[in-house]
Amino acid sequence: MANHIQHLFIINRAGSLIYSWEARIETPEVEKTYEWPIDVHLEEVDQKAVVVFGEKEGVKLRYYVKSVNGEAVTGTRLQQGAQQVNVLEFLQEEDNYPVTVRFAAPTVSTNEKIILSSMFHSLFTIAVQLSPCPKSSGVEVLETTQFKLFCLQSRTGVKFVVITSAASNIAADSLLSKMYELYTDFALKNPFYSIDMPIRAQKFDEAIKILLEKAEKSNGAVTF
Amino acid sequence: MTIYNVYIFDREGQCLYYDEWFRTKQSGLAPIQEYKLVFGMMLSMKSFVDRLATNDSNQTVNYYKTSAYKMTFLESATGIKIMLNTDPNATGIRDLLHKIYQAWTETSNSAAKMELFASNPPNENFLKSRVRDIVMKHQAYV
Repeated sequence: MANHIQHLFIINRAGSLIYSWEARIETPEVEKTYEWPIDVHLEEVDQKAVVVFGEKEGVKLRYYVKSVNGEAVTGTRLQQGAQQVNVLEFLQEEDNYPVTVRFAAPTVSTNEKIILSSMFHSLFTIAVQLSPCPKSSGVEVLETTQFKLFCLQSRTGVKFVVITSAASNIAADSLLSKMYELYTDFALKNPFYSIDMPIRAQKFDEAIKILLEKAEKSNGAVTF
Repeated sequence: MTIYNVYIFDREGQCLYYDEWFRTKQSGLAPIQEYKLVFGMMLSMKSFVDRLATNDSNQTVNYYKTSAYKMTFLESATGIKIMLNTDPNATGIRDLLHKIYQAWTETSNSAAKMELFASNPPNENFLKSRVRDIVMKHQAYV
């Protein structure tokens, strides 16, 4: 059975990420050997060398350079002997060819998750302001051609966000309120937890894991 | 069910058209400011979903929903963006957006314009009356 729940975020009232969970998906990787000149167009996007034009033979748009000649690339920096070079510049030099480049599909890094959380926080607030009728909440459901996002905001302003695939018909309402319950039980009642800080509790992780498994099996209907 | 209001933007973010029907709350901003906010939110939402989805194929935002309303998006290949606010339970809104887009292209595309306006010359309210006609005939319009 395919897993439909992809991400889970808890965002505090100030808009920062305090908990995140991600389904483990294998990210596709492609390795190719190129002759000069390289026929994919790369640019630096979010400190990575990303394919922006010229997708072909499995190398798709938004893929990033993971390694060159077996040497791992960190950000855009590539270790060459004792010194580090920019991978984009490296691939512009004819002398370096032929090269073997390994591309990987894009992933959401922890840093990006933090950015996304605060982005969602502001979108949520703007949606309230733009409401054409009184007493509107913020964004509760957001649907695109690729995923569905569900959000529950608690009375205290903490947001619980679940992202499922577009094909799923998981009803996230009970899942979200159950998450809220776990948050109160395992984070708020924990004497070592300080409010609005990232949640680091093994019990909480375990409870979330069990909850998600249940939700996947029963299409989101989680009983209390 | 209700239809609240509609925004049409060109690709630069200029609001080309705005109309409202049963809107009961104003945003408290000047119209120009409100259009900017709507367009800006749409752009951020696009960038948000692009970052979140790691799939390689392109994606578009269909709609978002709050407890009180639903905003449905339509973007044409030429960058015309139409946003329509309705009741959260309204159905068939995508078709309605396509109809509005069709009316829009017919009144702004020159070739189609010539044909349509051959007998009766256009006035500035022509598009307005067409959009109103389309919206009021829709099932979600009370």
